[in-house]
Amino acid sequence: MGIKINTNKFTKHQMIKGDTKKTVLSDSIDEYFIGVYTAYKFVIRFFKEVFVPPFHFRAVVTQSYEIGIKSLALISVTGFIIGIVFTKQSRPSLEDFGAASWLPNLVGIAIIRALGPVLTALICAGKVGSSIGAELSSMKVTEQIEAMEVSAINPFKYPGSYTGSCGHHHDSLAGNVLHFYRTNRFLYQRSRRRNDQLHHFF
Amino acid sequence: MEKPKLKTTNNKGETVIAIKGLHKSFGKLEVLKGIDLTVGRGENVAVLGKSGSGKSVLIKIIVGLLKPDRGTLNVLEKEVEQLNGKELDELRLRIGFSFQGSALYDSMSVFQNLAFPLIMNVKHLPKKEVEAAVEEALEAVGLKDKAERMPAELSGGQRKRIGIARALILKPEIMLYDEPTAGLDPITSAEINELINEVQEKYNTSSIIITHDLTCAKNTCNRIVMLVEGKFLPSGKFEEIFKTDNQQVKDFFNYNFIQ
Repeated sequence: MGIKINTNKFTKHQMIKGDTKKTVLSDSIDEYFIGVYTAYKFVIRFFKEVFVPPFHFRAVVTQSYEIGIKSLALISVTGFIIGIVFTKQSRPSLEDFGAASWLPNLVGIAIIRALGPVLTALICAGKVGSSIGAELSSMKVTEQIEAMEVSAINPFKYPGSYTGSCGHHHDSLAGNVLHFYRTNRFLYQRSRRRNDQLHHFF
Repeated sequence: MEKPKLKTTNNKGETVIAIKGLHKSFGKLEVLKGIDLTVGRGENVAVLGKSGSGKSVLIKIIVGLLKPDRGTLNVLEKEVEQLNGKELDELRLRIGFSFQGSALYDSMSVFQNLAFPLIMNVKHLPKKEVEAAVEEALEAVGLKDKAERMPAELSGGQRKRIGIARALILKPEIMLYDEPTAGLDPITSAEINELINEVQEKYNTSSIIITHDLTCAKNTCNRIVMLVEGKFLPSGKFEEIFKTDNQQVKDFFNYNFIQ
């Protein structure tokens, strides 16, 4: 594979520019690396914009509500079901060892420490991430992103990018609170009732 | 329909857009092959050409959405290529851009669509002033009663008008119209043409109108240029431009009007 490169004149700038474009390895490989570089630039710019003013706090609050609070129902239902399944499946084994009274602690710790954040993050990534992706894609196709740029509005600042990220963390927190309130409370009471019944039986 | 009278205000001879030797390629496809264009203050210039000939690319380069490969581009006495982000934003505030598909923010109402560029660019602007500016822009396009509507509730022509109103709200010196009459019926197209002329008269804007609608070009523009195979043919008035032996230009004319 011949490398056609003039080291005297070739610069990164020229590589992107159309009529001075030179093939380094092959067109497809060059395109791949340019794509990786573009994605890298995008990610770097995203993180740069997140921490550089101006900040649009009202937009953060609005978006957090849209994608955080509105996800609570789904997260709480998921947590609720996981709590039930966890209890139902682990109870017989614990009973064999006479450790059924430890069930509330087991479920509580397992969900709050380990499963809760992971599941909340996954659900949010699926639900909220796909919503944001679809919205941004639609905005790009219908030239709404360009409309922002020509109005001197930085599209990285406004629509969903970092507010989405903030909302995500908020969502995890809210989801965990709800997990705790709904799932653990319910299971704790249920488990205690069962233990009392067993105690009376024996 | 009565032909609107065009107001030629190029009396100062001031050039607001000067393009020289502009090249632009996408991969191996060379779209613009060294074009030259000057637009004077208060002048309306139509850029005609087939779909995919690079008309929209040209105005996207002017507003800094795309970067040219070669050539010089001077807009409002600024070299667009030399501007940093902040300077480019300042320049963009002086340019209005009407998109082909209107590009209204579909999650916002008409009022919010118009207020958004104002709120984001002018800090601590009192609410009353925002409302007054939005009202003025909506009045200019004749849609004062649609402020609370969502874009999905508007017709194609109304969306175009709102798109123009949004561009006008920052009081631009240059207006760039990307196919303003595309997909509209002849009556609505005529209304949009009238609006373009009204905007030019009221705000004394210089405009580049990208179109392949000859009626639009004829009724709104002082001068017409035609983009053929990446290069401009000599510009001129509507009647002059089609007195040519170039077969592509003749075909363009013949297919646009019912013979």
